[in-house]
Amino acid sequence: MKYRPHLPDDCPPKDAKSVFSFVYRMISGEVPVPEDFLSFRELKPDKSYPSDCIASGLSVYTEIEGIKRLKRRIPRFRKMKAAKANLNPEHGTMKNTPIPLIIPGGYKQILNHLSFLK
Amino acid sequence: MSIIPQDTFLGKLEMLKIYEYYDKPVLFACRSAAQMTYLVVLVDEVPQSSTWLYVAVSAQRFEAIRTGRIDLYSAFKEAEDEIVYELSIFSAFYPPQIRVLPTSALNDSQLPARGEYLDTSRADDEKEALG
Repeated sequence: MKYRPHLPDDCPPKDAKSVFSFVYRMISGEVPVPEDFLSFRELKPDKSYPSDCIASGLSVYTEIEGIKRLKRRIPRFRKMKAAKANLNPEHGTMKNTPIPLIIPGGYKQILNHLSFLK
Repeated sequence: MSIIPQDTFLGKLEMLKIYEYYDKPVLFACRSAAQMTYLVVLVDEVPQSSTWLYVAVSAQRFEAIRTGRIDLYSAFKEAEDEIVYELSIFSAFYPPQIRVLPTSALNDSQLPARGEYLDTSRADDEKEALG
């Protein structure tokens, strides 16, 4: 599998999986543009992070609640729209990085993923 | 250059906990070498720069925030020192700019929504700095 050239040698992680899944991702305008799918490492190559591999992935959610929570918590995302995409193994792999969400009566896990695109 | 600015009057900062991650940490706590804890949130971002709010919190208040007894809005708007720091981060070639803002000058568009809580006592809601 050939991934995007900015991914370091040890990336994607060994536990990243091929999936068929709808995912949600924030976009900067009314419709998705290629720049919406650039990783932190691609956008800010001058900044360092403990893991270059993690910084090379793209955050996506498999549930819209993850997007809603981001909008509530993070001012930067409040006015942004989200795009829904249908990922399949041709696009790359994903690693599940769940974030617990408190809901009335308990909590559930929001399926936040890092995706590694080809 | 780290995602957390160094060499500012905020001190030598290290990531403590990440509460929201979206391509990078966007809501997190960091701590200075002198043990001052800051809660940090991403306010705005354009290709050339990003703007963050840093609020200093005492150990007692940090515990109240992370266990869901103080909401994220109040964590900033009702800061103990009645000030927050607005950091504008540019490329590696330019130093960050820091403005001291009185909390009375903050408007809701710069803050997390009211009633949004961390509650790390009920779930493993905290991520260690991703390694």
